[in-house]
Amino acid sequence: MIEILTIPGILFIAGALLLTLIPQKLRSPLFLLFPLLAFVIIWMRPDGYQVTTAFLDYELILMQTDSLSRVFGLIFSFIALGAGIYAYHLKDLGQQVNALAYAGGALGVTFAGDLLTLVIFWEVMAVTSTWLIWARRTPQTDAAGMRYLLYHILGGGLLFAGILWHLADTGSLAVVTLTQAYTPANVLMLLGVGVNAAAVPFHTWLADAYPKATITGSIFMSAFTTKTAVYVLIRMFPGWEILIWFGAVMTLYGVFYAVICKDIREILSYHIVSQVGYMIVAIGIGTEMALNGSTAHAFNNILYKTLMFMAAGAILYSVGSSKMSHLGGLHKKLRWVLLLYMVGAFSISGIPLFNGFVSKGLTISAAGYAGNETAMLVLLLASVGTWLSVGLKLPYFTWFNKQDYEGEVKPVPANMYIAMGITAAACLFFGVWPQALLGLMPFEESYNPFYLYHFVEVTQILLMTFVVFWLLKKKLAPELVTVLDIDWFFRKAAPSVRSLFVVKVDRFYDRTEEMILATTGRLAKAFENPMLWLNPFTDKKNQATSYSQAMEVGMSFILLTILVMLLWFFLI
Amino acid sequence: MELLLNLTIYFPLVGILLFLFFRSDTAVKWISLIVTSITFMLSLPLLFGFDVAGSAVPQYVTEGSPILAGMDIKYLVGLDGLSLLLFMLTTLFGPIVILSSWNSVKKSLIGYYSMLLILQMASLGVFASLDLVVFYVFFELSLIPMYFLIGIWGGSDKIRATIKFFIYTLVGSLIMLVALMYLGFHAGAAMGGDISFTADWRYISGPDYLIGLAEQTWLFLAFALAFCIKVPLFPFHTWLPYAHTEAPTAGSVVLAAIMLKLGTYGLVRVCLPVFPNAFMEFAPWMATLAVIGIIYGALVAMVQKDVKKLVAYSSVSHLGFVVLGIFALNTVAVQGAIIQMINHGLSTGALFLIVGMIYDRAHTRQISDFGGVAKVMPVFAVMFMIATLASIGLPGLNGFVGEFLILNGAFISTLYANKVYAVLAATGVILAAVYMLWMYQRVMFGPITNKENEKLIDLDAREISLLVPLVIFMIWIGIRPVDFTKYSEEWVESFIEMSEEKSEAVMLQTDLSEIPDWTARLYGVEARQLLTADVGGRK
Amino acid sequence: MNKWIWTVTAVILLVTLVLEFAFLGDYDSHWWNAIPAFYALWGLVGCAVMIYTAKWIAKNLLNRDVSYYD
Repeated sequence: MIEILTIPGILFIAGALLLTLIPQKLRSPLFLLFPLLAFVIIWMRPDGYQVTTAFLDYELILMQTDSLSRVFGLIFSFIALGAGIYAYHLKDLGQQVNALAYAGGALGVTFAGDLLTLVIFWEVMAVTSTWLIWARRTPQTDAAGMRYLLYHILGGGLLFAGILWHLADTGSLAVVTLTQAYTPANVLMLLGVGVNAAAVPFHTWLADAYPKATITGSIFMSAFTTKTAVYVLIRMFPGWEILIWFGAVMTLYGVFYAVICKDIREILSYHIVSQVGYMIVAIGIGTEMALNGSTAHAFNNILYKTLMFMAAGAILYSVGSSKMSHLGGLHKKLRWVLLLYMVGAFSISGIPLFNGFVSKGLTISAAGYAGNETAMLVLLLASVGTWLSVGLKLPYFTWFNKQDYEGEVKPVPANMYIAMGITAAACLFFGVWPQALLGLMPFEESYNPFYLYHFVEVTQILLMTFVVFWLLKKKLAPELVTVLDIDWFFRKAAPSVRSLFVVKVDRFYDRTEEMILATTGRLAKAFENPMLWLNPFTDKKNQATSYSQAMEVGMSFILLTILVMLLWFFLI
Repeated sequence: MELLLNLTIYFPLVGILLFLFFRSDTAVKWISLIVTSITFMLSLPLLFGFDVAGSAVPQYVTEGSPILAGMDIKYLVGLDGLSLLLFMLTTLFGPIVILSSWNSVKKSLIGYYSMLLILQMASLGVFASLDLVVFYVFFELSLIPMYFLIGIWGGSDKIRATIKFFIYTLVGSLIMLVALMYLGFHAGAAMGGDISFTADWRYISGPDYLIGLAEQTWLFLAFALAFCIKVPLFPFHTWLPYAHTEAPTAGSVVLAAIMLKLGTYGLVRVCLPVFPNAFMEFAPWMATLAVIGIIYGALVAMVQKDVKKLVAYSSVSHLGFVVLGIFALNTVAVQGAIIQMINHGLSTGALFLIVGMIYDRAHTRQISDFGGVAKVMPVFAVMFMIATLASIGLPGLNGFVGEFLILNGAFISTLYANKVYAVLAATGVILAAVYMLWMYQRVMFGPITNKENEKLIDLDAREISLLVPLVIFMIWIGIRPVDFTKYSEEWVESFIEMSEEKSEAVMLQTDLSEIPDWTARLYGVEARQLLTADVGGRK
Repeated sequence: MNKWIWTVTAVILLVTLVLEFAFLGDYDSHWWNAIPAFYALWGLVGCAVMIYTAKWIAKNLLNRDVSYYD
């Protein structure tokens, strides 16, 4: 029993339930306890450690450790700690509980040894993250949360259906690497995971929901849902070629929208699509180096993406808006936020000595070694876009572009700075000492990013991008717009679909019933008084009960005869 | 023990007797509460004394003597693996239902509580009866108190609702009566000896009694129609939302928790063992209707503005799952269906209780009139949340167990050649989550939009005591379903096996020249006979 | 401020070009390594193309009023 509680996923969820009982002042510190515990537990468990339990006729493997799940587990708990520090000032119980449970769900999926456990934690993630959107409490976010929930439960449902089909086909629930075969079961599972991974065209929930969630909620959300999906893809679908195509499309699609969008959190959200695309391309390539690249990229991505979201959240907190047209000229007032943000931006762009340099290099080299040159070029192009959108455009229009910001600037709480600082330090750490990360990789990795070619490649690209940006920066000027995406189709179509399928059918039923009842009524009225039929001279106003004496006697006699005959018939 | 079973079934009538002497309002309420609680306690030994390994054979059997010479219609009651848990569910809900209407019914209390007690007795009788005529009598008997409950103590449009409910269900059962008579005579002739009519379920469902293919088809359709109206299965479901919204709280709870189960129970009790060939042949059709019901029920629930109607449509959706499980005809699925019947009773019963509680306070059921209720009624919010999550099928609570087993069984079922049914049903689970959570969010969360809602009082001890036992079971079944599935395991295994054997035996026996053409084509008799002949004609 | 940045940029660019021509032989031998200063050109062209395409598509297809969905 105690063993079950040490499973990180269950530990967090139990902790979340525990938080409901704790008084408000102790909650934030207590929140931090769980990621710390989880980090230690995960670090200490050896490969092949298992916790099983019986459920109905099946044996569930609640926890299974190996190098892949360990590296994801470590980064998830670390970022849960960071996010917890960032959200230290939060007083909303609902958010705290759900954030912790959400992180627990992610950890649960990571360590799940069987598919049923996996999908259960998957659903937990969907529900708890929806709460973080609904916690914002505006009509817009209510609707966005609904869409998010629908999307994710759809994904979860597809995954669940796929798992059940897989179970029917193979009889086993174990989490295994699937050979590349497009059986219905596999396709369903792939689609389900793809929704959570924000694969185009199932990505619209990301840009729809993340900018609308609460400030602290977005931090949690950006770290977990997509990366958990990436983990499952690495585990179950390595080397599936179709992923290369989807991933490539995602990298460019995400970056493209990031260049267009004018809300800083929306830019970062679309950019997640692009970064996950990197990981998915690598999974598709499938060689050991590529899988390592994908894992390393996920690891680093969690660090720098969360850092950038934290900074954007800090801006939203202190200035009150995240739309670039309202920002500008903040470099004097929010200096430190700018600095910490730039650490993240440098990391994501792959500047040497930051962690992105390592993982991006690893991924692109892996593509090269596997012989996939198109993939390399696409990823390089995406690098251009990455640096452009989040490394140049975003900071320029947020912190510069005007002389001085005229509005009110609330001071950013210390805990946010601490959280950002820790994350930034981690980015630098893994950038300067890549062996620390490469040692955690699921496969043996001897890659060394510090070689001249790499340095030249990266520097040239980034420098020229900077130059072009500076010359053309007016073209990217902020404006207040809503940017359409694929979800236009159902956001505009939803009301008419609903009316067709549901309301009209309901009305059809209602009308049929009314007709039937009306007919019955008419029939009843017609036969109300049988005397009208038998004796045309009857006074119409008579009640049916007033027969003449003779009639009554006659009818009684007939009735009696029938009864006697029946009795005779049955008893003899 | 046999005596105990009979005592349990009829004990509610004692309450009615006592009403003759004690007529004050308080006395009536307390008598019914005590009587139903005693009934529940009387039923506990039946549960604990049940032989789990022998659940395929009816236990505690009381066999009366035939009513008429030559007609084997006798008073026959007993409990087996299928009916035991449903029986217990009914007795559990007895005191809960009585307690739930403690303060909300104002007029003619004696009538109201007597109706509830008669209803209790009738439901217990249905689950316990092993003679088909007795079954039918109790089945019909349950309609009458329901008619009055809705018609007298119901909501604004009660007359129309109750008439619709009564006539719809009655039509179905009358058709069933015709089929029952035919079946009785046919079985009586097969039984041999002096007997011209038998309704003994043990014989009819046993391996010795085989019915020809053509007769099976008609009989199955007739019985299935009656049961499907009761379930309710799409497209025979239209009486349900109406009846539910207009019924008083206790009426809704009994209707949802117990009476709807009569339909699904009947399908398993009668249609499965007695008409195996027709059962298997029509399974895909029934599955189609079930899946349509699941998805349609969910979609309509999404647009409802009245909370009670929303929960009513969710019943249609959930029971579609049960029907899907029943017709998958394998151990896993039928077991899942049985446990899901219990689960649905618990969670939907709880939901209707909850809706009743909020209605008692706010006198409205429109979702738009609410918002932010969780702020003023935190205990209520928690209970509501648990019931919602159980209804959705969150793992760890009871709904998940049933859904998982049913979906699993549907996926591996040999009767559903196409796995599409299972996939669609799985996606139906999504829709359930969506409309329930959305409803919960609109009612309970957000700011308090209606000024009046700030004055709402949280649950009192009476109301909490109604919900707590249900919540306990929801969690218990969710965490350790084995404790509950063990009762029906043997029953399910042996009856499915026997069903398959019977169907093969019927196939072998069928003389191609004697059956009408359509029957031969429908069942593919020629092909099947060749197949079994090749294999050596297994028994 | 601007002049300083431009000088630094120009210097670094020259350094990379020098490094490329001086030290890097046939390193990873992709088809594009034959083009001198490939990555710099890639950055230049890529960025420009991206900005212009994005702007054009946004203006004509994607941008709508802020309250479009309400």
